Amino acid sequence: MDMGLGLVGLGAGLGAGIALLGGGGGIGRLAAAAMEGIARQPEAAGDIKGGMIITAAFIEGATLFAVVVCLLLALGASGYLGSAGEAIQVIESAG
Amino acid sequence: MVSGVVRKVLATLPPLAMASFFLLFSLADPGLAQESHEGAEAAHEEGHEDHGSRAGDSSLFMELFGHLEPHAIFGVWMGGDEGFHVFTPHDLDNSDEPFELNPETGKLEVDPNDLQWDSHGNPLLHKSSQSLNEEWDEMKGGGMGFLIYNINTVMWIAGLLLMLIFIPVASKARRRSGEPPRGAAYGLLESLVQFVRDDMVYAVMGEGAGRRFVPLFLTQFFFVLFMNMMALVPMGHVGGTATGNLAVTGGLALTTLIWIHLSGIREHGFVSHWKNFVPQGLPWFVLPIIVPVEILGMLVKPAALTIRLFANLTAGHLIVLGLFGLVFFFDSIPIALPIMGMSIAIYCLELFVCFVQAYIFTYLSIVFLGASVHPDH
Repeated sequence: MDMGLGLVGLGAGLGAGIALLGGGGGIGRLAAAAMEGIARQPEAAGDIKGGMIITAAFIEGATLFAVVVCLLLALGASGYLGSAGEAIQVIESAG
Repeated sequence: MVSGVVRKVLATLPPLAMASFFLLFSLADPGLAQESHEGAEAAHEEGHEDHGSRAGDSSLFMELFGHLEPHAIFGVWMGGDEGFHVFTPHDLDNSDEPFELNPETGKLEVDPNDLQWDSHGNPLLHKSSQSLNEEWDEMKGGGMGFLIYNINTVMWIAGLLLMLIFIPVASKARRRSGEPPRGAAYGLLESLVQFVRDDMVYAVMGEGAGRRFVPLFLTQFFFVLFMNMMALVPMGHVGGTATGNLAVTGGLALTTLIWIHLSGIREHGFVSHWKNFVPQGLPWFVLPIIVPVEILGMLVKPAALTIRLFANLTAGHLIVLGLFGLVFFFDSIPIALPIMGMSIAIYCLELFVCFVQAYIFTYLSIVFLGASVHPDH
């Protein structure tokens, strides 16, 4: 039984979920620290908010790298990426 | 005054040209042209397809997501049999499936010699780009050209909107130098422009150094913002998510990278600019580690900008399309109403994401440019 492409789908889904674990956890901790900082010193709220948004963007960028890899796997397996999809299909079906 | 307007127009061209260049020459492969007989944005298009009920048919999601890919609107071809000519995709008969509809019997047929096989002995249901290119060359007799995709037209419209909105308002502001002009358009634009200038550029780079870069970042911010917002408006055949394409966001990040190096070289001189990548006063044995890491960092930062913008926009649209597809998947009105509610909520989140992503893109570009112009290690 050829499970190759099914396993690709499974891997893509699991990967996206696990990526969310890491990114969401990191941004949650960041937000908690930022809220605490604002609570301790309300006059620094502007600086803290600026820094919070920037670091959240960095963390989210890294998470989205992982999500894009999963997207590439999932869409490549069903052939919706044009020539990139063909390349991925050939690689996946040869494995 | 005329030269001022001309200068403003010319200033908007470099980012536009860079992104178009990147897009055209990365997508110039005619084998990637999709059939565009079903034109409009998928989310608003299902009503026009009359396939009958598609309840329980999960392949409709794949069809919907396929609409996120860029499709050609027209093409320009030079050389070959016919010389220079402009053509529409209806001439592009080459769908990438080896089947053809026989008009008499109404059935799909395939020529067995046209089929290609993969390593397991199964037939490939999509022709490869190479065979499409060969068919194309045969059809056109050589020559070369490019295709204008829906993404190109969206970018042109966004650039046009930039010029149409900002140039009249700015020249009106300049004339009345005594009192600030009133009016809703000016007020709205002024608050946004002031936000970008004061709270983004001057906050990071300081007023002296930041002054010369304000037009660049204003253009980046509003260009990305307009493209993001136009992705939310269904414009039919010529519409689409421009920033949901890696080539477009890659072009924008490439302009940032080039500006970082150009402004660093202008500020510090060619050799000093590259020496600034490495912090001062490091022992010599750390250098072989630090230099590759810094160079990698320099390349990864625009890549992160690219992927962040691309993934945010594409993910949002995938979710909206998926939810809309659920309406046709279940094909019943009592389920459709809450699904529509959910889709509208996600659509509003998309609107918020537009602004945030434009802000983040511009802010990070400012931070990187500021680091290259004023390295304070």
